[in-house]
Amino acid sequence: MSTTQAAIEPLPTSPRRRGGWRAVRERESLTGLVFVAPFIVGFILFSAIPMVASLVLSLTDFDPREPDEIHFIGLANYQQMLTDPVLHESLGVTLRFALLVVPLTLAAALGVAMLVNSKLLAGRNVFRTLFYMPMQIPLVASTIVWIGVLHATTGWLNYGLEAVGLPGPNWLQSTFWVGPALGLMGLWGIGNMMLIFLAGLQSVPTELYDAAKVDGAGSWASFRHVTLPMISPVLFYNLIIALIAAFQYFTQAFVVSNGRGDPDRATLFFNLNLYREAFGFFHMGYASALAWLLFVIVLGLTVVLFKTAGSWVFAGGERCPRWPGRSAGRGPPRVRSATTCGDSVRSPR
Amino acid sequence: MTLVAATIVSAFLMPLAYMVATAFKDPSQLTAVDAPLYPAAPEVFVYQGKELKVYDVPTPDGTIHAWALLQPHREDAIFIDPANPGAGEITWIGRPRTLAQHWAFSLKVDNFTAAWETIDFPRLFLNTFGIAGLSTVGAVLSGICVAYGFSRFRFPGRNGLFILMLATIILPFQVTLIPSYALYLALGWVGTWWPLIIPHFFANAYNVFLLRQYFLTIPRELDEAAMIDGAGPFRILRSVIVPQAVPAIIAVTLFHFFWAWNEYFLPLIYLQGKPDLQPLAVGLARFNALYSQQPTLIQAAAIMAMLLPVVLFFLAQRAFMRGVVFGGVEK
Amino acid sequence: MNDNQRTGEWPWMRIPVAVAAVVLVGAACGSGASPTPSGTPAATATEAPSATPCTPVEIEWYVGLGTGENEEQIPQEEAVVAAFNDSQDCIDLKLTVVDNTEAADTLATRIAANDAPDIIGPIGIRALQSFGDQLLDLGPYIADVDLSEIDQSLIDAYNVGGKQIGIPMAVYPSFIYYNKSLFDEAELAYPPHEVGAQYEGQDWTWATVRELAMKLTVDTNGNDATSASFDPANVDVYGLDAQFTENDARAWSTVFGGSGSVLAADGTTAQWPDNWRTGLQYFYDGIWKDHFVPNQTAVQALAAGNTFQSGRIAMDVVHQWYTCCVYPGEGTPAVTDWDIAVLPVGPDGNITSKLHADTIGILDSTENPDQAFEALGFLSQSPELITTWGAMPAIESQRAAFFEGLDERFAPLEIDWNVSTLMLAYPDNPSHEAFMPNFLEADSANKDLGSKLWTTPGLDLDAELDAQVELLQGIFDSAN
Repeated sequence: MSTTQAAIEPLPTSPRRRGGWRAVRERESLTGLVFVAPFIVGFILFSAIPMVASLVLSLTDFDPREPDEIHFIGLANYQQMLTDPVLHESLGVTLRFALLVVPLTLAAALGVAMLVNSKLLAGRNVFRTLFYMPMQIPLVASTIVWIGVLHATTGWLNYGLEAVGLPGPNWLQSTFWVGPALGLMGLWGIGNMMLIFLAGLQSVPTELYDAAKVDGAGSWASFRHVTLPMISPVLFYNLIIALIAAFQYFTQAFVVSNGRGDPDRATLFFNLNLYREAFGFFHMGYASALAWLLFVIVLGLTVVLFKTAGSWVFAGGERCPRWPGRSAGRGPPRVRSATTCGDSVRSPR
Repeated sequence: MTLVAATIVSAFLMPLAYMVATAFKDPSQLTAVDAPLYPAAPEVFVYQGKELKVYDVPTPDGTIHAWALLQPHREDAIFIDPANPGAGEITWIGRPRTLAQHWAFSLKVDNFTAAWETIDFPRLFLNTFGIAGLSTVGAVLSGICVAYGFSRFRFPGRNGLFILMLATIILPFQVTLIPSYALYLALGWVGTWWPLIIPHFFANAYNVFLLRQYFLTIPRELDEAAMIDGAGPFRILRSVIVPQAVPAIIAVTLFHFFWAWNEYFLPLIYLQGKPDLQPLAVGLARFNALYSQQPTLIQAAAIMAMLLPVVLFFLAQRAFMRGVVFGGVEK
Repeated sequence: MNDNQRTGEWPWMRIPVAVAAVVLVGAACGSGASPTPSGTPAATATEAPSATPCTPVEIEWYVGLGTGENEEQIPQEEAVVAAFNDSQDCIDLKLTVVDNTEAADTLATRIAANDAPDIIGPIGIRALQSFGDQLLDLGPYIADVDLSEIDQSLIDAYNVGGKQIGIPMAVYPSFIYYNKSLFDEAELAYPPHEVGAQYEGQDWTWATVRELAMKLTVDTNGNDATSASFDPANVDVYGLDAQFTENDARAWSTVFGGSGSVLAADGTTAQWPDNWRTGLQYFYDGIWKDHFVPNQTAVQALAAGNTFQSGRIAMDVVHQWYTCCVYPGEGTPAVTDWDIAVLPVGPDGNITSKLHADTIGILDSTENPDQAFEALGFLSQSPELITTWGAMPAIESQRAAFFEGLDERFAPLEIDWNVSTLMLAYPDNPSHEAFMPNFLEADSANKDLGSKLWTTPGLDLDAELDAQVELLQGIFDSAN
């Protein structure tokens, strides 16, 4: 957090310091707290209290069908995780899926955003709308559409593959192909990411590209050294959201697999397993423990990402040319968060 | 470039074409082996009150006849010539299962009428608008306040609070479901819109995170200039931050609105048994469960459900893009 | 906290708060003012008990765990509820209909939140295993009720651990639906309608069915499954299916292997009985070796799972309730001429007709058990409910009227309903949905196995079943 933190700290301003540093500090604290208050109140009411309740539940054998027969069983639920083969399977499924789908959707969303941001493209608004359109289809409905499209013998995707001479796999009934199939489905969910990337791309000052051009940079080099560093904050945001979404993946898997992780538990994602334990088997205590495990895993990953963020995410408010001069031919310049122009660009190694 | 984009977008939206084609098909077409991809109906010939399907039948003399199949067998079949039904039954030697059937382009608009009549679309739309609209107002207003608080002020425990807020993103909703249900029940909110709206007035982490990231890119000198002019924190928010952050605010509004538009599980839990209050996603899922054996009806209903938000987005999208361009020019 | 410092800031906060408040009030008005739908009969609201000696007690009837949640069924249910509310003043019966897919979750959530309904059902034997412990023992209440017309084995099916948790209302035996056109095309005789009858000089066994089904199975080149040039990748018509069994390995084992149980007589040991192994092997080979049964991929392409209605299944083992979904149904009929036939003799030497049954139960959390039972009594005496659920009445004297109704519906077809009555004499006992320790998890494990068998060729079934027994044993053991 330390580097990001540095970026958040407001600059101490000299006129205020004169009026009494302490008082200013206190006043600022209160103002900030007032603005943040809706979150604090909401957090206590709608997250903290239910969370504590669920933490307590995770130490019990609570079965919602028999609310009166609840026993405190200590850490037994957490112990059970160590030897639960289905849980380990579901962790594997989720991890493999995240490794596939996070880079895939990030790349697709960025690619599409750059495409619909291109000045050469006629009717850009139409294209933006078209790429965003699947977001408006209720998830259950769009998943049903995809199930039809991905059908091994009657689906349009395999018709298309066969037309170009490729053997169409049995997307949804094969334990190997069902992961990529869900990845393909996930492409229909890139709309939000695309818009965020687009907003990021549009905020890159055109002078930077001009400067790059003057320096003789090709399109790849200017993408690498101007676009990527400049959009790194939105890239970071999208990365975190994509990662969390991958770990919380649920609805599509639920619809595709009849809520059971079919075929042969190949789509038994962590959250689907959790749902099964909670509402399929009514092991609410164990499910609460699983939810806490998921929470800790994703929290850990997020913290790690934030820690590494300082080395590649640019997050400053000032405007300085980020183009590192003539050093472009070799390795990429690394941009890190900093508050002064001279600091924002590190020379290539 | 436009051509490339058009190719990509048509591949991307291919399932949509499948959706539209399916919505206009007769259910029997979905299971027929040799049916075309476009909506079509088998060509039939009525003979003695029976509807017979028409096939291309090759005969040894090399001609291909369009004959109506009266009775198939494994190695032969009896046909009627629609051009000359008076000639009676023609026995043909061959395997009728290998013959190509005649299909004629035919749109089954009935699917849409049937779906419209089954689902109370106007009510569902109204409910969805109500729930999504109100929760969006709450989410955006509270999101702006909280993001402002996090991005511009120092206070004790700020970073801890911020991480805490991010942590709520990764909190699986199943964790809080039962305690929350009990809470809302105690408040008498089960069976009303409140559980779907009120929590959004207390800031949502996604929105706050996005807005805060955006606020951080707004030069602080602007704040300071306003401050020197004597503006208080709220005026700075209103006259400096918000105008600068229009694209982010529109984006957050859209994201939240469409999220709320498609939200399914919680409305289902809290509005069960209250069809008058349920939003579209619940109504659609219910329809989907009822007619799971009739994909044609489901796709028709899904198309109707998505039309309005698509139009809405297209309109809002122009404003959104103007906002982005405006923001870009300002910089 | 220093108030002076805060006063400067509060007014700004008030604006969003005020806006929020206005919006919320607006929302409250908006939702309160929403008009009632014109299409839905206001069943319960019209009853204003006038001059009653009692304060009406509200009893909630929760529908969705089994059938009864279909759009066309709800008006019938509402009518029965209205009739009950008209008939007395002391109970206000309220109907809640929930989608089948969410009904169990929602009910569990409500029980946990101490907000449980009073009456649940119609509910089948399987769903009863999930909520059996929460159901009220009806034993003391039904002592005065005449059950002589209901088969004792059906009553016993609802006696769990000495507790009578339901009265059988509806039964659904299974039998073979067959597509006459496909038999005509293959020029084969129709399957028998009488128990003990032969088929073309052969005993009516699953081996005979296999032979017949392979002749009925035909690819797009017109080769049947007995031909050397048969192409299993392009099958047009399949000879046999057991549709809507949804991955359930116990159901498949019962259909093709006869009655059995994964729980040995000692009540703790897991097993997969030999007749079930034989039955499952028959089914598995039917899919992957002999190709007369569709695998899961094929099933999805056959009328989205309603395979018989696709016109590409010659024989289909399904329950009486399948009259819901066969021609004349919605859409263009692909099957116009069908009838029903008896099931063959299984590997255990018996005929077994997998049985489904529905009942209505009372949750023991109810605060008004007497009133709830009064309502339940009224509901279970309402034949129109059974009709709308497509069920065969458990009470024998009501059956003739039930079949007449079906005849009317399926005219001009003349379905031989006698087959259904015949099959009712051969229920699976123990039931394929019978109790297992840690029921839901064990049931799910059996469906995981079903998913594997349905999608994966080339398995050594015996090895798979041995592994399954081991898995089940672990699940059974964790129940204590």
